[in-house]
Amino acid sequence: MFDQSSYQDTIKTISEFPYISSNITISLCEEQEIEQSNFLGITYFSLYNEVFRFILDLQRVLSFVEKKQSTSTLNIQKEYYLFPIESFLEYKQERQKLEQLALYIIYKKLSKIENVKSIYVQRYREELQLFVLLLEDKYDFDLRDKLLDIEYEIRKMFPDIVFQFFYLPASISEKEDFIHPQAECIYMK
Amino acid sequence: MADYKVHLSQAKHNEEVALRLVKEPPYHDWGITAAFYSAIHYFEFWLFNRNEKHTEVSIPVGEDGKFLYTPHAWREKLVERYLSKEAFKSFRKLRDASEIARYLSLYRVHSGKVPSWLDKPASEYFNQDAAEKLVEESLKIFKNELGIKDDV
Repeated sequence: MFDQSSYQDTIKTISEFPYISSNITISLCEEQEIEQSNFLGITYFSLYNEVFRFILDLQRVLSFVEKKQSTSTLNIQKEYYLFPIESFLEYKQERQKLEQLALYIIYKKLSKIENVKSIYVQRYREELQLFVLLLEDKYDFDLRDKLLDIEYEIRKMFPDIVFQFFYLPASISEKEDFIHPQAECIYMK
Repeated sequence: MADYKVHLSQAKHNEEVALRLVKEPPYHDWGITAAFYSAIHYFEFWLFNRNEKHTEVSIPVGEDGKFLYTPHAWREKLVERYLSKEAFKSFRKLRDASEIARYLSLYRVHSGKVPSWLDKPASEYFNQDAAEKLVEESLKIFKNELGIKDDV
């Protein structure tokens, strides 16, 4: 079911990063200890012997480390980090808000269609994939027209999001939906 | 990737196959798939002389050098961006129907379980009229929008 709070929680988690005071001394890991996750821009750092996750520009950090190789403890100026952290964070927050709004509108519009049984969302990289399960056992042109009118409207409303919509016949309505564990249900009749 | 002339000849070839198959039940469901692949090649032919040149070379990449979107999603974005609503809907109908015709369900959302959305083969889910309408109407609308005439 669509639950606005779950999206809000995601946004909250993303926005809660450890506070960095100005002129803080960071015991920086050795270069090989800096890990870059698969996700763009998320880097793990050791800070006061604890591992924190920051979103920043890894290339800039590595180049900084290279220049300061002679020392293991570095004074990191707040300004140095905050720009990449904040700009990336701002982008991610805006992106999350935009996606949340898009999903809410998709839910509001598609759930009004009688033959829509359930809606799932799954993310692939920057792409938002929507799986719309339909109660039909024959291909229905009129239903496709209604769905595609809504899809087109949503795409035009959110030109910065790349969507993929899938309309799947689920003729046996009493059966449970088989769905990928990472797919999130935003509507169930 | 192919040259635009190859895209055009492949598009026409696929269209001819589509038009034949939809008139030959119970194989009419495969006509839908052939029509979708015809639409893709017509679009790539059209795109070739534009900035993007080809869907797959214009997909934005992340800092890790990997595609941010799947080729199908990016192609649909280009179709939506450049063509009319009617052409977009025609292209989407062909893709949607061809995926159902091939998979009966969407196997990608299943994880280790047997898909069981449809209790019938695609040739029964799509009756012949529906298949003909998809091939003849939707593909024609899409081609017209791209400015491709039958005698090209």
